[in-house]
Amino acid sequence: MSAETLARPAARRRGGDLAVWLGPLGIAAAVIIALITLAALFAPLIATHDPDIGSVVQRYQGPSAEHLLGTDQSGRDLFSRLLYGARTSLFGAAVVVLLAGGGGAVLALVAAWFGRNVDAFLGRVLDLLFAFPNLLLAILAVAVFGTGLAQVTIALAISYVPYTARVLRSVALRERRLAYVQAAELQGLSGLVVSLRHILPNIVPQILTGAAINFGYAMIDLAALSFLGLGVQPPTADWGLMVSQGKDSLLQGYPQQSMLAGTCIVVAVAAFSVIGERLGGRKAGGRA
Amino acid sequence: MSTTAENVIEISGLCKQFTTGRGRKRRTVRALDDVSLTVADGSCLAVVGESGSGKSTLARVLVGLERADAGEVVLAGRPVAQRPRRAERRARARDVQMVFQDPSGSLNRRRTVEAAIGEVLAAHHRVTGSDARRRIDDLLDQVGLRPAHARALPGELSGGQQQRVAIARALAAEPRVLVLDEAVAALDVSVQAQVLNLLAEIRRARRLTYLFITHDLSVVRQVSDEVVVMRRGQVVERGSTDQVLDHPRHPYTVLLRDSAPRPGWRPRLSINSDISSDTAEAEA
Amino acid sequence: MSANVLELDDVRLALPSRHGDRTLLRGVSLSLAPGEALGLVGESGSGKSMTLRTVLRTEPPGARVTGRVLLDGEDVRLLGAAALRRVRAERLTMISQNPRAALNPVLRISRYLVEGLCDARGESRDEATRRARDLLARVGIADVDRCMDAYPHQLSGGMLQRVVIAAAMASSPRLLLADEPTTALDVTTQSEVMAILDEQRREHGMAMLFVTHDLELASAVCDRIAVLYAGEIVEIGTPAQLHSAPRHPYTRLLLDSRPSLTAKTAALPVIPGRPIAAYEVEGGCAFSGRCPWVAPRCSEGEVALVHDAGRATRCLRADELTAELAGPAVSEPAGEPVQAGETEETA
Repeated sequence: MSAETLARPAARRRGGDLAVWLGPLGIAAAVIIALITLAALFAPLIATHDPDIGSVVQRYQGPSAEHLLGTDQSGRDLFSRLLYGARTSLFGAAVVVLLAGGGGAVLALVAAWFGRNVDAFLGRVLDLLFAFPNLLLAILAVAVFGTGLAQVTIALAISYVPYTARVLRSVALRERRLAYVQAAELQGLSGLVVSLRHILPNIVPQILTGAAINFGYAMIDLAALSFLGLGVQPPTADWGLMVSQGKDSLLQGYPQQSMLAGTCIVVAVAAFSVIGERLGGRKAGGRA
Repeated sequence: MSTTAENVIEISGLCKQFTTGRGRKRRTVRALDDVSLTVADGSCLAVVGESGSGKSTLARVLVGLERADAGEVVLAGRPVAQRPRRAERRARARDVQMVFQDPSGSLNRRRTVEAAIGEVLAAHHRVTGSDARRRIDDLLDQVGLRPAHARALPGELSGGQQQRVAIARALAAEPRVLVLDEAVAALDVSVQAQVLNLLAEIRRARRLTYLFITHDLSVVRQVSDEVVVMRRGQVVERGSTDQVLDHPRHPYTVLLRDSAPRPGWRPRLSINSDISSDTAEAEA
Repeated sequence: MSANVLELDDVRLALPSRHGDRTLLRGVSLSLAPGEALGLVGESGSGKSMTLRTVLRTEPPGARVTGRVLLDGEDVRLLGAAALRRVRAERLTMISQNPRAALNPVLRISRYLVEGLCDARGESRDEATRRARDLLARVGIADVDRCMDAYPHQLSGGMLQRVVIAAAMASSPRLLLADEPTTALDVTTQSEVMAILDEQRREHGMAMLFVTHDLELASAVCDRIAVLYAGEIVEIGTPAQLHSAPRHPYTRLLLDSRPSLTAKTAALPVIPGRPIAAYEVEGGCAFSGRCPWVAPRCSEGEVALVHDAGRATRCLRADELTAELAGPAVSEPAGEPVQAGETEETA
């Protein structure tokens, strides 16, 4: 017996509420994500140099008016490379999250709708996938299909599916048992229609939360794969690859490339995980 | 039961078992144990019982949400397939609709009242567009809501209003039978009275047949012509409402009646301890 | 210093929400004599459970409570953490709707009871075990051995509620707080649990605050009943007084709108609209929006709870309406027939 059962005005979020809900840390994270996204989108306009062309004469320069953040071992402009690097990093992670979220949602809806044997079977398959570490799965994919961003991204997405599917399945099952789903079922609507029209919209919040949390992890994993030389191939600019390429110069006393790219990764991942937690905490859809 | 009028529901020998647990803890519960009953066209049959009596399972089998292990259901003269195809389910939905207990759970919280009712109209009568709008307003009016409520999300309505929408949605299919599964149990007393009156009025106006599942004998008296008392999957007593409530024959019916709070009532340990210990077990 | 076990004096409660503070209690005052049973009856949002929670100090986090809650003359709202624990352990006991939530699912009943006794009274294990068995037998549990050895999930809701009652009786507290203790139970089980609760309470001379939505149930086990609406008490009286001659329109309509077990009516008398919460009250009598006897002055400022010969009523027209409210049936008092499909107010 509480005010919960009373009629109340719509609980739709408004702008002012959004700021309160995010909190100072959340606002900072949202601003960072917005800046990175803008940088990636408008990289060709902002960049001062071509990211892939440099001259060996200008290698290892410190920050200057010409090169805002200095240059790398090939004399390429680091500022421009970081901007373009945001593109591959964000794009790769976005694809991973999209595929993993979509795949997880489909599996969750199928398991929830059919229940029983189908649910049990899917559970087993997911358990099997769980047994493989994400990176190992991606490395296996590279071994079979060759190196490259596309291969690595798809492999990583598949390895993320169990995490999203497991959480979404429990949410979808809860919805499945509610009377409104049964009321729709009673009308003779097909499982596909009921799942997409009724259950899916009600698990969207969990899908989004999982996506935001996984985004950070996907960036790290992609960076790690690029670092190992399995993902993005040189000369394309990528934060993970830049950390890797900077490791030789690090030993020669020029740490800026690795440091800058590494900082970008850390800041971006932190921002995404803050937003993910604001969206619903670790309860929903995140891995680990 | 009444044999003069045509029976719109005929159920015979219905059985349904549930198994829970695995291995040594595996247990079988007989939710329905050879249940037979008929409901005359235009009448209201109350099915009364406590938790574990099988009354809700009966409702779910009747509307097709659950499959019986054995027995036959004849709805509006047509035998109902136990493994229905979608077309058959759709046809059955035009014969029988259901209103659930939990008002908030029985509506999709992300779809407006209009969308909820419109979906049923489109599914069964291919009514869309401005025709649908008119029908929706009409249905809302019949359940005591205003056209403005059509745009509301369930979260913006009170429990009583949500239940009215659920009734309107059921009526949209223009069924002959309405199965009400504890449909007023979750409502406040003052709102419960409104919805009970509404249901009575709708039944009169549309000549509907009701199967009213409830645990509440006072509600039985108010709504039904005939009553079936269920306990542990079996029908223990049936008859006209007045006869069963005023002159119960089965000791369990007597116990049920004596347990209902009313003016001058005092709680007491049951006269028939055998029955009461059974009830406690059945819950476990 | 009063002789009352419990006294609530103008208790108000507001809960912060996204839409600003929401008032849930608008000044609840009541008193409970030793051994007396008082029913708090109301619909959703009436504040009956919240009133009980202010006594235990288990209101939701962030709630702002004003007013005094005197337990044996001592204000529990002012107690420190240690003193509060002692009060909860020794002088108060609570039975809630869901006994499963009160019991640790991985402990056997015997451990739950015996440890409770050892902790609370410093008894030896053998002594406590003997007493636990005795308590279970007293709440009508036939097979004490089986019950002591059982885990909570092996027992039915009715059995568990008996175990909780047995535990509540162990320390013979002065005051029992019961929050819809039988709402989740079947009617036959409800009857038994209430009978046991009633008997045990009388045996131990405990006072009881009994929260329920069921006026008939409260009438059967309570000495007096307070009817709540929108966060305040609208009427207090004995069950007999409320049934034969209710003085507040809401009480009368609440009694009428419940279908009767013995007689069918053509159409139930209904209260139009829905029960409102305290924060939705817009000055004047909270019930005026739904009251068939409403007069213009009803919406002109707050209505006081008027005490008169052991009863109390919060209605400006109580005196004029006495005869009408006690009459046989309320037949369309507003002049216009109350329709079945009466539209509820929109929020």
